Amino acid sequence: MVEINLLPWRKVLQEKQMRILQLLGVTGCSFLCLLWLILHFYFTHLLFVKRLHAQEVQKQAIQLQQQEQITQVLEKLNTKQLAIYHFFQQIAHTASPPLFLTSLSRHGNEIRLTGKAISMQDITILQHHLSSSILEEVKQVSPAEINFQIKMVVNL
Amino acid sequence: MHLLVGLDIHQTEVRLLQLTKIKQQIILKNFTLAALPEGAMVDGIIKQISNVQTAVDAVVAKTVTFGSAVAIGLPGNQVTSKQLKFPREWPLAAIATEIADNLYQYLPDGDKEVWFDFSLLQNQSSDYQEVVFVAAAKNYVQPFLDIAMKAGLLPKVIDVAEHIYSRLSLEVFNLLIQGEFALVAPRFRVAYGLACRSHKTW
Repeated sequence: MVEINLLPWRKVLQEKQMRILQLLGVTGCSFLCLLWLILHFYFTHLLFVKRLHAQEVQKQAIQLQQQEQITQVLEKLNTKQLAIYHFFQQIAHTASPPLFLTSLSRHGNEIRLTGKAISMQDITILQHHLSSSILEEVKQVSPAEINFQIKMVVNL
Repeated sequence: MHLLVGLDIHQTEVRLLQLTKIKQQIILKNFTLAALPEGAMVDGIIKQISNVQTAVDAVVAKTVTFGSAVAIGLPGNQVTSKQLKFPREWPLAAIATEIADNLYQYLPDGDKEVWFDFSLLQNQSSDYQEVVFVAAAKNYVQPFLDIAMKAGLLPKVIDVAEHIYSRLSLEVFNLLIQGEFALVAPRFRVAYGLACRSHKTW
């Protein structure tokens, strides 16, 4: 069937198709851009969260390490405290009258005990009870008074 | 489906026909004509635009078809119509390009600005495909367009009367007409053919 239309419909149709194609192209490009932006923001956010998490883990690890160090120090201190406690307990048990301690001083790993005793026997007993002690000085002041000084090497 | 208003500007009168679709049936809604004074149109060329305009305005007002899409029929006198042959394997786009490139070879007068169209003929037997090529000078077609637009119509199709006749057999047309329209029916044949146009091309 012959159907003629002298109006420039082919051109109009072509232009319309072109416009549709352009619109599709623009829409497609916009969609791709939008998709890219969404993915970009999503992955950036994901990366940020991961980094934050990693930083937190690192911080926690450092804190844990510090805590461990503190615990170690405290344990050491506790051990030392026990040693000091033991030391003073020994002195308290052994240095009882008629033996008196007049001073206690520390120089590095050395502890010097100075005191007074009635007899040399009491000093010997004290020295015997204190491990690794050296009797440094003994001085008879009167028949019933002997001044003494004991040096001990301790690991405090 | 959009229906067109068929406007046939004939040598002696202007004819307008409008169809409507009710429940999948296309029925006649309006038909009217207005006589043209002698000399308003000579040999298919509009000589007195104002008189033709008045007649078209009158038929549009009578049928209240302002703003309707219209198919206009041109008398065949001033239209170049040719039958061309192209290889069967050529696609429609290639034929369109070929016709557009060699347009002025097909025109006898060498008009500077022409409007043209073509339509494939159904020919299964031969090795080539036949194409009906129609062209008309723009300054010949333009008054028809201007008159329709001034009357408040929206031109969508410009067809040639001869092709409408060939497309629409009289028997089918006579079956469709009823009542008083039957008396004037043959005069509305072109307008009816225009109103029945398929809308693929606009």
